[in-house]
Amino acid sequence: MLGFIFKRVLAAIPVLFLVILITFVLVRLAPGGPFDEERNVPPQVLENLNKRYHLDDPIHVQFFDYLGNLLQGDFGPSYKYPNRSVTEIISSGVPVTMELGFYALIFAVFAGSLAGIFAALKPNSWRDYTPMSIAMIGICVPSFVMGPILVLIFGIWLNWLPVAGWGYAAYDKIIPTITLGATYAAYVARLTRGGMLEVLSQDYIRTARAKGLPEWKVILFHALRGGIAPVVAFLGPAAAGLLSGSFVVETIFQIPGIGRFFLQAAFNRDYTMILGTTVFFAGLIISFNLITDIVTVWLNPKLRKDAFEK
Amino acid sequence: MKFYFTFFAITLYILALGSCGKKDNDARLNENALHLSIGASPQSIDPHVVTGVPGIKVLAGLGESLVSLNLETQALEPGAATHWELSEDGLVYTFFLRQDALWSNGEPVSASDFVFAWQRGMTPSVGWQYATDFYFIDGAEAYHTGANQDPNSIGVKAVDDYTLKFKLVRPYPLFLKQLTSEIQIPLHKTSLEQHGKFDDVVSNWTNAGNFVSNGPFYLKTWEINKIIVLEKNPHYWDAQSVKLDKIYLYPIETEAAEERSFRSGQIQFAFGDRIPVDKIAVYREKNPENLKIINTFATYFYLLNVTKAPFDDVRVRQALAHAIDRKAIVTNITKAGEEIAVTLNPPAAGHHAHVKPLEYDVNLAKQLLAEAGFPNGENFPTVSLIYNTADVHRKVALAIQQMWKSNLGINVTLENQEWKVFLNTRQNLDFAIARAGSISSLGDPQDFLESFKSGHGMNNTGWGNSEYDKLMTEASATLNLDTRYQLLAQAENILLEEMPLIPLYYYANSYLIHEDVKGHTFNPLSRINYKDIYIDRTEK
Repeated sequence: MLGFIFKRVLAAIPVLFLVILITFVLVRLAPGGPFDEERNVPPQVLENLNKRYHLDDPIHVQFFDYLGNLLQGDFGPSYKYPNRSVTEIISSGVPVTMELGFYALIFAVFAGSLAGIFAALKPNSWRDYTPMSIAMIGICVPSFVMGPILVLIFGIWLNWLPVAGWGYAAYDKIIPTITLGATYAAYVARLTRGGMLEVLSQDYIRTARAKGLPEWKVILFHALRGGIAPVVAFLGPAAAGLLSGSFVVETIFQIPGIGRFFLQAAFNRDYTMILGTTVFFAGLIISFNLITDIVTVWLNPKLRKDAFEK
Repeated sequence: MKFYFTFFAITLYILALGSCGKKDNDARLNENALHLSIGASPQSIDPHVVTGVPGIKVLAGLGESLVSLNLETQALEPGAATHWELSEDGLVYTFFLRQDALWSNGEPVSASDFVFAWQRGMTPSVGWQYATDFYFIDGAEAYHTGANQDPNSIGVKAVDDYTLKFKLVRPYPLFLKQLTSEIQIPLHKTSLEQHGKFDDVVSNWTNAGNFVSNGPFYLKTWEINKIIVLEKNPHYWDAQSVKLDKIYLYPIETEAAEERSFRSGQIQFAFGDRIPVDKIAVYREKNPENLKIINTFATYFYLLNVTKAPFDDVRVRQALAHAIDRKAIVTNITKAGEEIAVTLNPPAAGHHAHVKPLEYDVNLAKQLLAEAGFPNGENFPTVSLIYNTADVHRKVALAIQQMWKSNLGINVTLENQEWKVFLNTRQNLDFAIARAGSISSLGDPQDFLESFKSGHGMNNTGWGNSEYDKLMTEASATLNLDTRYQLLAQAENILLEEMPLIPLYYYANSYLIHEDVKGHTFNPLSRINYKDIYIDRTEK
């Protein structure tokens, strides 16, 4: 098992290297530079700025300098926010994005599985169609539509919840959490319903019922374990998606997470910031895939055997 | 079952997290404090790095310049200097500083702090974008270009602790006005050098706790992209007239989120300069007392590339300019109280009476186009109009495309570009018609007109005119206001005759402000004097 993990970690290194290389080249190919403003920067000033950030070095020198610094954990200074290092900005934004993603995931699993179970209990009745139609809408409505609608209803009309911000007004984390989690909740609902339907038709459920167990015990203790399995497999990609896809929600609600920086960095041609966030997200997605693989292998005895033998 | 217990526990935890903020927030809203939004997140508050408006809006509370601007009368008033003198030849300014002025750490503010700031700004390695604007200061150009390595060669000198002298190479009429700028503040050398070399713009000397300021407030906290808090500076010489205890500045870059935050009471003042157009109508009807629309010193216009046919012919340029119904644009598209632009400079600029305005005259336009060899638009090549991606630019472009089509019979294709791509295209003169906007931070016609001197960094048209350049140079060394305005008007008339640009409308800023917020003077420069602002909740 350790050998398998080690191999997978080793395989991640060239992937990460390629991501850095491609991003490094692509951002420099994009027209415009970090110091372009409405008013042309006087040539002597531009020259000084390029010198300061070593942008006048040959590109391969810049690349290897960057790699060298990266290995020491230094992402370099941000061009857009000169008094902040990219490391500092990432570490200020990541906890916020993680928190948002975590709440959204909890919401997705909790609301989604409840709706799924509810729907699976009476398939093809209104109790199935109602939550499943809502779930379908949840999948179809993008967060940039969902967010403003929730704000309109709960923030403006009912005036129950704050409309923007993160952690400086009471309950201001609720609407963003729901906005981000809604799509995933909908997926979870559909997965749970499918899983539950399959499990509920199994013999052992009939046995449990035949023993005279109350229905809620059958559902919770016997059916749910198997029914929720597809959801567990979905959690890995969902977690990665929630973290890397939160920028829309962060922008709508003015949440100081990393997703917003990711987006702004591209518009600003903030080279170091683009690279920093890309490397960070690439690392994140690689690790999540790694964890999912490990868990899958660990859960499946056949794969586990292969992994040990290799 | 455990599974569900865990979720139940976590849900409770989330609710608990949400509620623990409540008390803080209520307390915050009841403080003697101002909550305002400032547009995007400021990139820095280093006065030699800051270029954007949000950073300026933070610095406005932190620093005090030598001269301050009365926002109501636009008159120059004492700031860090109590008074000043100008030599008879107009070349030497002497400023007499307040002897009771202190930094936020309690140390006295001295003339050498101003000298330090100027020497730093002119140091090439700092890369201050506006350094070239101050080449009229003696020795500034030589030092900035590296011809002279001695910072003391710059004509900014401390005669003694409280006397500061500027020596200029030529009289410069806008100098005092420039000194009122939020970035013209002294710098605290010791604290700056504690965190890095004096020319190191990436050091963290501007972070909260490190930044020492001489203005009415000091920097308490700065959480990037989240909140900036300023607190009253107890050492400020005029602290007794500062009414607010705290200022909470929120960077909110989308207009819609800003308006929502105001509507829900999270901010008391939407100071990001623009609120969504569709909301303006709603506020006009339902809460007119909260809405403020202010005409600004900013103009929206199109640039024409005069280096390429067909715009190398002045008659074609004039024809296009005369064939636009500007009234239709401001009433049907922009709808935020803008006024039509018939000159480059907004009417508030003092020289305006002498400038010949543009007219909407389709017949004249047709005639000009025919004279240029394109009767009824025949044989006119299809040209492209580029604009940076934004809804309003698209709508304006569509309308103008239509006007040119129906009035002149010419075809224009539209192309939107992402901001930095757009800047690049424009600077490389790789376009026929391009959207542009200009703002005067000083509220002076010279600011706008300067941009169209040959080879200026904002003159992305390829146009140049020696007569124009001569008038501009003359105006920029004329201290007499009337003469100067006349020279500027002559220059502007040349520009409007030659038409390398087509003015469309003057921008209007829109703000939302709560009734409790008092003492702010709305002004065309969108400046703010936090010192005067106070919160009065008695009306409720």
